[in-house]
Amino acid sequence: MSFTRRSLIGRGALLVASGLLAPSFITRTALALDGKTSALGPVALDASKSKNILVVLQLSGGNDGINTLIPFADPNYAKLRPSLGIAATDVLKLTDSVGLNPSLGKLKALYDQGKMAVVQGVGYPNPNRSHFRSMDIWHSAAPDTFERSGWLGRYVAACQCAQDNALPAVSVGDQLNTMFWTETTLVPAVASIGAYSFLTDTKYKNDRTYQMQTLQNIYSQAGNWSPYEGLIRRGTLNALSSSDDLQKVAAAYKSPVAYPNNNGLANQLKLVAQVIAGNLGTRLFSVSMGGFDTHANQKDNQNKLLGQLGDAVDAFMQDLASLKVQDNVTIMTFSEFGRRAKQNGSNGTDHGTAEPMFIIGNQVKGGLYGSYPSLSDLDNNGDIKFGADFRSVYAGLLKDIVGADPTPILAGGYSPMAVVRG
Amino acid sequence: MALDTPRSQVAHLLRRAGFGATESDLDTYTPLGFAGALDRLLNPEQVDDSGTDQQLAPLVLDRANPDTRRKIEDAKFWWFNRMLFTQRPLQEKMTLFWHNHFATANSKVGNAWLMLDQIQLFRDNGLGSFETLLQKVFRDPAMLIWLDNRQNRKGAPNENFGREVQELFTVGIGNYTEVDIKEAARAFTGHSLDKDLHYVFNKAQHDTGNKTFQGQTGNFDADDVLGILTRHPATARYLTTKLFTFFVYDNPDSSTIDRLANTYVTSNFDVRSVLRDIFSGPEFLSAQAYHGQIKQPVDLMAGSLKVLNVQNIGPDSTQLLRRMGQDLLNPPDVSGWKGGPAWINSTTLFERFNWGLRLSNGRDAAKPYFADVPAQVQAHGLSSPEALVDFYLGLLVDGDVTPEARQALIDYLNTSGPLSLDDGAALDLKARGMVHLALAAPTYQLA
Repeated sequence: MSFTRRSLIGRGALLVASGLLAPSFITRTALALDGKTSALGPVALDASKSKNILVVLQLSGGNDGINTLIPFADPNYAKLRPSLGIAATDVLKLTDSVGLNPSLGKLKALYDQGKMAVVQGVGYPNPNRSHFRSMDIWHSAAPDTFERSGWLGRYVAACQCAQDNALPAVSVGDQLNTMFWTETTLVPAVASIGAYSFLTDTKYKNDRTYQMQTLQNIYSQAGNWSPYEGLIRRGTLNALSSSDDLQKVAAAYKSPVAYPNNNGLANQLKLVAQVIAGNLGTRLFSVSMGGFDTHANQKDNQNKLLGQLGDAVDAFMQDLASLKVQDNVTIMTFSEFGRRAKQNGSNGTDHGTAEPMFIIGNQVKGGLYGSYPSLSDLDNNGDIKFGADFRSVYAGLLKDIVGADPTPILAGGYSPMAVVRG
Repeated sequence: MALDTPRSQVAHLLRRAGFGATESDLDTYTPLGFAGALDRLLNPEQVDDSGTDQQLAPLVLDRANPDTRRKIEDAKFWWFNRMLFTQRPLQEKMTLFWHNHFATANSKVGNAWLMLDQIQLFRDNGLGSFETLLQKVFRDPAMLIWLDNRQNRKGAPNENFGREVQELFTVGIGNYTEVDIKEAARAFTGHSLDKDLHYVFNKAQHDTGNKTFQGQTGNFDADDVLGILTRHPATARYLTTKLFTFFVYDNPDSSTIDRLANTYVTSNFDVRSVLRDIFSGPEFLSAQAYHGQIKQPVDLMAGSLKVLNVQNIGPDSTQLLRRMGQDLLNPPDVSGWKGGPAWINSTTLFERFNWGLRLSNGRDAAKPYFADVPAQVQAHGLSSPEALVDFYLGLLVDGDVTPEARQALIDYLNTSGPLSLDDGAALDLKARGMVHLALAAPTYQLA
């Protein structure tokens, strides 16, 4: 028995009288209930990239790029940051002019192995210094409009890869990252695989079948739902159809790698490794860490966060190697903005503009990209001027890692930055 | 069924202006009529809530013991209990609104006393003048820590409060410039904390020079700037839109906001007057409003506890809220919880459904979350599967489910053979199972 979208909508009644539904059935039901197709139309896909996986790592709050990738040889640096500056002797030097924060030793090692690209001075025209608007801009990749859909969401909606896979992408955490949001396709948010399940009364185990049937009968019903009821219905079907796969994956995962304790990012990356190991065809992930809004007492706080970042990424890379998927996975970091060049009166920095991005993985052509923004040619707000547009970085990763034509997804022809080995 | 009876109107009002209703709440409020119920909610000082204070006294942090400053989980638990049991639900709902509006998180403040003091500030001032509230929030110790104004000094300003007060607390994005931020920061200099974390004004650290702010120039101090922001036309629209969206539905018409903004101005920024306008306006009892919002997690949990008459909850309740995306006293950032559709994703849906199981499984009278479903069935003389389903769907969703969903629940009750309501074991299995499924109904996720 098969259902088409037409038959589902047409029947408008209970779909199944007995028996548990197969996940693929629920997935198709969820898709049918979506009732809309991608607004983009077809996007050219490159099948040779189909094993590649992209992990987007978000640093929330506005990471101070100037103390992340440090222009230690520029005399303006010490002048702008009399107490916040990091001594040249402590900087992990990449060249004779720039180097990494001393807490990033583990990323320096990846850089030295040629596995990390550092893109300098990334931003966009007319920078917005609101956390929320600027994060929306990085998520939508549309600085000039109030586009609600996310850049990777648009890819998922256009690639048809959600057709028979409830997990084409996973947003790690209890909130869906808006880089994955579209009106047409739901990407699962997963905070913990253990909790990602519809539980039923353990006192009456045999009753579970009846409960699941009833739930699915209620939720599979087609109808002309209000937008929010429609969202709840699609979300539930999406959740139910991805739950069983994730439970199996978690049970099968074994790893010799010890992830660092008390490190939320490490926990998230471990979850990513579990899903990758389960080979469910999930190709896109988002993970995030917060705390970068360092208006006061920045140095200790940022150093601690960057240390956690390095520890988490290092453990994840080891795990990928132990799972023998290290050649497939690429990590990209970003934050909603960098911070003001001159430190403020509280040993911190206020909201600023451009920032460095890190692209990490075995396919990455390591090294420095772009040029460091000048500390003597600041804008009229006292902020550095961007050199590389973040959409060029996105375009390069869409083309060379995801395997999709970036132009329709980014609504423009941004020259793809070639950070991946050819 | 939608808002066509006094009882369903009052139930809708208590879902929005409170945290849901017990059967006995509905029995108390319904005879007052919608207008009378609204009056009662809008005038909390006229309602005796001392019983709640007594009931919650054992949960109050002991301030004789300095270690309780770290007991943030206890503070959250006390507050959630207050939401659940208070007889002044709108006062508490507005406390939650202001907590989300002036969103301050213990992740940075790190002090449960200061967080509770700020919450009390919202409780005491949340229905009065917005200008007064803004002045008090600016001087609130948790806020002075949260947005760093305690370190904002003459000659070395810190922009954090100066930016967010405009972007998020008053005029909204697009209604200020980067220069307005820098000038506001200068006006806010010197307002700080002493070593005991009490508010202090350090005159020597205050920048007394002229500032040009929002098109006006003068020797502005902090209250001048807050006064300009309170009176800015963009604040009238930003704030009333946010209040309307919190209580009624998303994307209100511009004419609705014209009316509410006018009330804000003519009432001298009186929050209670704006609320009365929101709840007594034509939008509130409209079809668009009815089941037209996503329930926020506290409403989902408190509402279901009330329907099932649960009297005792566990300290893990606030952890469950966190997992549904609403960690009280710890909003994700200064913009608060995104709310609306952002409450819904695959993880939070499972958390919501599994909360329903926790509740429907509450079989032990000696433990938290005891839900005496069999007693409720008996007390109402429910004698058929149809009556059982209709009773709970009535309490939970005003019966607002499709006929097919109602039938699916009735069929569920009979899946292990025709259900006999005299059979205690069958009732324990099936009535509780049905309650779990009803709590998972799509419309129950809506407010």
